[in-house]
Amino acid sequence: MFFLNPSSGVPLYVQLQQQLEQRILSGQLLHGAQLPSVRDLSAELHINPLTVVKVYQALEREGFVETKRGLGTYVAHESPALKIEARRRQIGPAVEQLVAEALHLGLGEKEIQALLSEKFRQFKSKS
Amino acid sequence: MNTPKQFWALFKFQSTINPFIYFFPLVFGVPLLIPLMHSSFGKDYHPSLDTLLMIQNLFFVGMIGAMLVSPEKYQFGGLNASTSYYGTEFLLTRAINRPVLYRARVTLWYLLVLILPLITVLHALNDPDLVVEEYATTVQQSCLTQVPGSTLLPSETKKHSTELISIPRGNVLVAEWQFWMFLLTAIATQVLLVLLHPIKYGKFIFWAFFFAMIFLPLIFIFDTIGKGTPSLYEALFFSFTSHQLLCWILTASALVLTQLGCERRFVTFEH
Amino acid sequence: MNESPILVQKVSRAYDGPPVVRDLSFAVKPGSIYGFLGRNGSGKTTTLRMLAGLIRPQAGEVRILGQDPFTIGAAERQWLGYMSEKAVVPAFTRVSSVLNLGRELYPTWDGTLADALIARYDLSRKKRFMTLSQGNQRLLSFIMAIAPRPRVLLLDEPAANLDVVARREILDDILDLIRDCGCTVLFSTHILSDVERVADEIGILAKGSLRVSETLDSLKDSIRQVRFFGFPNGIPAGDIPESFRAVRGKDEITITLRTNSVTTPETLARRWSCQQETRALNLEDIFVELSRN
Repeated sequence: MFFLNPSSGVPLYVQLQQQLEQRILSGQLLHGAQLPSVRDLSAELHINPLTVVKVYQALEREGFVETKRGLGTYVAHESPALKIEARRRQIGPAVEQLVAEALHLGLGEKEIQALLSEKFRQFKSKS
Repeated sequence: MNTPKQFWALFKFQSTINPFIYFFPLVFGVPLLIPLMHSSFGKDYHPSLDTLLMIQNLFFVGMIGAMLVSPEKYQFGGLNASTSYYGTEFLLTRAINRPVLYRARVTLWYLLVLILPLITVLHALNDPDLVVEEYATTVQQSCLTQVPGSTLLPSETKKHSTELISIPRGNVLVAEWQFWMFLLTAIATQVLLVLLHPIKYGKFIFWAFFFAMIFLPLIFIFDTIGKGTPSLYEALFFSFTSHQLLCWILTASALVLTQLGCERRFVTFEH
Repeated sequence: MNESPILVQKVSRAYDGPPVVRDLSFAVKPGSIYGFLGRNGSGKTTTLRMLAGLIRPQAGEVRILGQDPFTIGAAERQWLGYMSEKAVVPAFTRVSSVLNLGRELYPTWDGTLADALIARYDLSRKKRFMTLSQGNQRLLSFIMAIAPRPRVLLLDEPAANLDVVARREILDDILDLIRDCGCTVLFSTHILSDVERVADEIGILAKGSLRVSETLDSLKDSIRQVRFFGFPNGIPAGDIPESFRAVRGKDEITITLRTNSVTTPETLARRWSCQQETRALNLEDIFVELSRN
């Protein structure tokens, strides 16, 4: 279900949190759907249950899920502002990398925007 | 678990831990059984009290003690770093009271050490009376005064009329004395093992004592050949026979005190 | 329970010579898994043996569930499971005898778990310990440590000599124990990927003292390897604060950096008017960087 790499420089909780957020945002996990219990998920992924607790708590803070005592953790209902904010955050690292690389190679903002427009056109024409 | 259960569980476990602990009593216990066969020599008297009393294998008390009680400290080479034959570290980190482990080991040790002397005593009860030939008059005197019930026998065949001493229950007394000697040696060894444990070169000191114990009997024998005075063994024997009850009481107290003291020391040892 | 089940306070210990462990202090939170890392000879085993009650610290104190592990009796020791790095089960003993001993000594012995593990690890009950393979010997030691369902579990190199499959299984068994009983675990290992998988806190021991003791997540979040280049005035000389290691090249300097609110790759780059390229490190990288000093 989830692909986690313990030997990456990215902490496990960050990886799991990102993947869960992605699935919620993209609609793979429907609103109101129940997430696996801490016990079950940690057993399935062979990781420490505390990691799962941490992720669920972070997701709840950000408004992605809500925990009902004794019942479990559920995907929260839609909130448009949240979605946009969260999506921006998701793509943040990729953008940062792009900008850093561009500066490194000596490419300016205008040139990158041109490249981006080109890429969007290519993708749209494919689909 | 409560102490008797723990003791029994540990005792059972320790007794099957290593076949070597049974090997040595078997091998070294055999010489002890030879005096049992003295009646097959064909004579109806024993030629010398000394040879009857001589115990050549007291040293195996120390040998088994070192193996059972603190093997990691006292054994050489044979225990390499990655194999354990006695499981001390393993047992100490289980749910036990450490004095109980010590007690189980010591009990097994005493059993192994005392079983053959005990058999000798039981065997002696079959043929309790002893007649022994002794030429030295001082020894004769000591014997007559200190061994209860002993009398001189007139000789029927020889010119010297008084060199045979009859000791009723003599064989039993000798066997009891040997049992007592083993017991004393065990107690002394127990104390020595515990005292030497914290000392850096204690291992070497212990084995020096051990080798002394092997060679001492031989030295005593050579020393007393031809002399008219009682040998060390005879002197010890006579002291024993003249104060039997006292000896047993003192020994029993020593046993209990030693056990209590050594147990307390044992729990302070690092492994 | 607020008090740490495993507590080490200012502990020092030497054998014949310089201290193997010096002024060591750390505490393990209840219910957590603490990964204890360090090169050979860094003092890991000595620390574990002090926690197991086999040796005593020469300075400071160790506490397991609030008590001195050297002097506790059977009632307390039943809550402490220990697995040595050596094969300490007696060589001639049969597997069944050892398991029996466990059953007789521990009121909390979980026979079902023991049987299940024996079956899963495929250990023959009739075999004598010395005829088992090294891996199986360790598995048996492991079973003896966890079958009593202890509250504190100390494991010295639990995965040594085990094949990949068995290693994963042991880790899963440890995790199960935590999930079911709220056990607190301290384990030392060389195999860093195991630690990354299950540990939530890490301690890295070097020459007897702790270089690092914190959660794995915060460690990974805060340590970065940064390459600074494009210096207008030549590379900076002297010590750089918060850096574990600095490697100077011709026109660049690569620093393993502990970031905090003040020190980040960006602030340093700004200070030196240069450019920077950052890489996140996994535990193995971090460990190697720390151990090189």
